[in-house]
Amino acid sequence: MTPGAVRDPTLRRPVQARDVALVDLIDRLLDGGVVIHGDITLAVADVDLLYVGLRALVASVNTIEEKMGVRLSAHSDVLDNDRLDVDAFGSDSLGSDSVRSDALDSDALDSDPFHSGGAGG
Amino acid sequence: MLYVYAISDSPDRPEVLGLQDAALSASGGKGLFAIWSEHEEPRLGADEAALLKHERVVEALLEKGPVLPMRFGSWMDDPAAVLEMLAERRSDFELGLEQVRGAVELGVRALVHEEPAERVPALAGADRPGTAYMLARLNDEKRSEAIAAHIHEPLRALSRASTSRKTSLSGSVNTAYLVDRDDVDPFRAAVQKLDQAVEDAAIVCTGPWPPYSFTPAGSTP
Repeated sequence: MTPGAVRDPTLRRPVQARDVALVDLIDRLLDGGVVIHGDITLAVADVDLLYVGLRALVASVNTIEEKMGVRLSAHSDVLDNDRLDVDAFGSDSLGSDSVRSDALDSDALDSDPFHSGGAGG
Repeated sequence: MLYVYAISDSPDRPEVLGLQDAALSASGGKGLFAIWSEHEEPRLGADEAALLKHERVVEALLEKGPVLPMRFGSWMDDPAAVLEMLAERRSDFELGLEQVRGAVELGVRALVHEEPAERVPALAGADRPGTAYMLARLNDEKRSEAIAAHIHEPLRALSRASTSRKTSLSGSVNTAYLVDRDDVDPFRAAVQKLDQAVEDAAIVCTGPWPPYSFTPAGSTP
């Protein structure tokens, strides 16, 4: 990459590099940047965010392991990719109904910008 | 409702579309602007496509000048509210833009390899599995800290600023650096050199990123 330009790297990197980068991207987008409202939401959407981060992390664990030759997964139920039902997280959007708990199904979510199960996006 | 992408010193909008393929607009004046797009409702799925669209707008802005990226999911009522926010936080934003002008963020991640128990002297005296476990974790922490300090030294010299980012993996390092564009290549070369030199860890450099880790703190009440 030339020093003077930042050219849409997230969309043009090879897929494997992008998998690893997605974790870093999500981390920055959701935990970094200028904050407008102090209570940024996410008291409610913490669970959604967890799934956003977790899905990306799971997707990239294999890549990191391959590239760096380290073992990250303790072969727990959560990180065992053979058993993990990725569809549980939703293929297009994260936080699908199958992982939504009663705590999230409240009216308060209607005005919540992170309501990922609803319309929009 | 307006979805805000970033704070900029210019009202010029890049030729990319925002979330839901909405056109970009700018509000502000006197060298301080916010870039946004308008939407019917403040709803969006926190899915990969939306995240990448937000990022694409921010990176397109970064190509033209300094930018303070907004956190994903930043909504405001209308242009008047945007102007009010800019007025309230003008000095912070102006300072922030100057601090990142001409620079990008680079991430450095290090994954410290586990040390086999046989090689850890402190564990020799551990008589119970629980004790051994805690001592092993303590040993990991110390090794991480030592490696982190070792990595940081040469990289500090090649950057304007740095800050730690959270990391959920134990025995790992995650640091963000603010680096002059001209120093990006030397910085990356330095990370590669560290990766080769440090046997106990795998070290990678990610980015360049817009300066998400170097934006002014504080929020609009």
